[in-house]
This record gives sequence, structure tokens and C-alpha cells, in this order.
Amino acid sequence: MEKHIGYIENGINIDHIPQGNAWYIIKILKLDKSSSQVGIGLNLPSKKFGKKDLIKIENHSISQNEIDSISTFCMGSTLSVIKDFKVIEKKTLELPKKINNIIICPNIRCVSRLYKSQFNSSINHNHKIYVKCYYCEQSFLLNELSEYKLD
Amino acid sequence: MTNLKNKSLVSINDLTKKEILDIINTAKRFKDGLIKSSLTNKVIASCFFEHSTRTRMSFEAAIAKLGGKTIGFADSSSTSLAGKGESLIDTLKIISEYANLLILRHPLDGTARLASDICNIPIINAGDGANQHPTQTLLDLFSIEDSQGSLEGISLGIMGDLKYNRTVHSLITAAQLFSMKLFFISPPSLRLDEESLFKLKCSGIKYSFHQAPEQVIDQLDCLYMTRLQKERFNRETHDEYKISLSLLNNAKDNLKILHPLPRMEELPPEIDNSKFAYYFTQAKNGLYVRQALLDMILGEN
Repeated sequence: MEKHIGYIENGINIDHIPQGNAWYIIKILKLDKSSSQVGIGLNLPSKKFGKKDLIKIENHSISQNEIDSISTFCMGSTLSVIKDFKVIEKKTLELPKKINNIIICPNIRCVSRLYKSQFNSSINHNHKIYVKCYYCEQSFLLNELSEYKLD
Repeated sequence: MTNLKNKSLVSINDLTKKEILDIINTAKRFKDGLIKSSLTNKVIASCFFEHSTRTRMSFEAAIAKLGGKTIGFADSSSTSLAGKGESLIDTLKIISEYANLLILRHPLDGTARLASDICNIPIINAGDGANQHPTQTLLDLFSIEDSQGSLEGISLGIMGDLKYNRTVHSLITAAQLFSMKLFFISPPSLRLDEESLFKLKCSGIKYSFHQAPEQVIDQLDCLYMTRLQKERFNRETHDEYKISLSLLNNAKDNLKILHPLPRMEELPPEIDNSKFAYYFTQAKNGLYVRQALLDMILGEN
């Protein structure tokens, strides 16, 4: 199935996206409103996760800010830069230390729900990933978050 | 001496151990009458978007004693924010143009941090929702120091609602800096939350859990009580977390009872005249701690 999404001549390839998270990346990078051709693979077989998502974007470059924003949803995914059908750069995406204006604070009494949000990430002793709100100082498990600012 | 000049105080977590000790030492000098007025010609905005009696009045008394002037409001119903729907950010920006320092209480968590980012004057957080109330923690620490002569290694009992109480969480964080031995006394349903517990485990300090004050009263230097909120206690356990004169028969001579006030049934008036009662002095200490902070942030010394 993966081969049907096609090869790209120039652009980027985001592979090994956790299943279901491609949608967040489409929204954050505004791919639904972009002039680039985009190939999207959902629920593809993956040795790493069992199932994965995949996005290929033709004639698109990605800024560090955009990488930081999407990394909340595709930590461990691989980002490849393609030129003339060849991979010229490849990196594994890591969760940034600061996550700006992506997460909606689950604390309904938090002032950041009215303004911009900012979270600091950390990994605890049993490898669970926590994010702490810069404003209300509460910590949450990253994988238990459910509300995001995507526009 | 640490330099707090023109710095904001948003969270107890922002302060180092040395800064806390310097604030306590300065508060002590105010208590002993060794420092005089230093806020002449300074205008301080005291903005309470949520009502408060002790905190607001002790701040305003501290300003008056230092010779400064206070502007502001005691609740938000009389402001343009409520009346005309002005945004909070605009209100804070404008206030910061009128004053040299802003004392802020707000019902939403994190408002003091937001204010410290957008205002060009120092902020003192006087309580942001359920989050932080750093001057309360500083006056609690000052009270322990003042009544025991030290903070290091003190045996501190903390009793009541340990799960939801804001002052308890901040006090525990600070207690870790001073290697205190902590005794937590609460019903199982109001035990310490997971996050605080995790931080305690990492800190390496000694702590233990108890279901009744009788089990530990003879070991404590200070007993920090919290208000019993009836909706969070069931009827049967309620009475076990009240203090009584007979319970105090087994207390150490130097024991002092602290309470952030207001109190409910957990701390009956019969305790007020015992040698163990310290909570009214604790409330008064709030004045010295706030004088010390205002002086260190804005003073002309």
C-alpha cells in the first residue's frame, strides 16, 4: 500500500507517525490549505508500532518552529528531506523541551485557556513523559492529553 | 544578601534557599524594629480580583508602615473588567503604567505568571486560584524559624486536607530545602497527591503517614493545621482531625500550632490561650514578611 502513495521528487517525508496522529500534523502544517501535493497514508503496517501513519509533501520545506510543533504528535517519527528523489537529510523527531501554544491546558481554571499556552516537557523515572504548564504549574501525562490548539 | 530588586515573586518554586533565608532574616529585622520606612514616593497597586481579608490588609498595612501609597480595589466587581468587559491583559498593562509594583490576587491559576510577563513592573503574587500563594509560604517558614530558632531538621506535622490545599503543597516544597522531617496526618481520602509524593521520594527527606494526631503529637516541633472543608470529610472522620487540650498533654514543650486561617471546627478557641497556640502570631508575621519583600523589591536602601 505504501508504494501507492508515490515517490516525491523534492520535498519532505514524515514516516513512522503514531497511528491516528497524521491528522494533527495536517492541521498544524495547514496541509489541507496548502498548494503542495500531499500524500497521506493511514493505518499502514509498521514493525515499530504495529500500525503507523505517513505523510509525503511535494515541494515543501519545514521550519524548526513547525518541527517543534508537530513533534508533540510524532515523537520518534523520522523526517526525511528529499531532493531529486534522494534522501539528503534524515532525522528522528524529538519532543521539544518547550511546547508553545499547541496543548490546551487540561486545568479548566488555568489562565492559559484564555491566552497562549506554554508547557515544559520532562521524562520521569519510569520513562513516562510529563508536560508542566508554565502558568498554572500543574503536570500532566503527555499521552493523557486530549485537547489541542490546531488552528 | 540576595538581590530581589525589581524582581517579581510569582511562585515559591522560583526562590532559592538562600533567597528564602534572606527574606526571613529581613522580616526578622522588621519584627525587631531594626529597619525603618523606605517606600516614600512609591505607588503600589493592590489589585484583588477575588476577595481576601488577611492577605490584602497585611499587604496594605505593610505598605503604609513603609511610607508608600496604595491604589487598587478589593474585588473586581467595581472594575471596567467586570463592568465594560475590558480584557484582563489590557487591565494589567494599564495598571502597570500607574504603579511601581503590583500585588495581584486572581481566581484563575497562572494569572500572576501571565502578569509578570506582560507588565513592566514587579508583581507579587497574592494568590492565583488554586496554584500559588508564595507570601503565605514565606510567612509559614518565618513562623517556624521564629518559634523554633531554625528551619533545618524541624519535625513538622501537617494535618487535614493534604490533597487539595494550596498552602500545604507549597510548604512541602519548601520543607524539602531545609531537610525537615514531615509527618502527614489525614484520612486516606485526603492523602497527598501523586505528584507531591513523587517529588518527596526524589528529595530524600524523611516523611511518614498517619491517620490520627495522637500517633505523632509527642514527636512534633510544629503542627501545621489546615481548614476542614466539610464537603471533603465524611462525618465519622471529621472529629479525629480536631485538636484538643487533652491531646496536647503529650506534646513537646516547644510545640507550636500553626494555621493559615480562617479556621473552622478543627481548631477550637479553647486552644487560643495555651502556650502551644502560635497562629495569631503567625498571622501577624505576615506583616513583617510582606514588609521585608516590599523593601527588598522596591526599597531605596
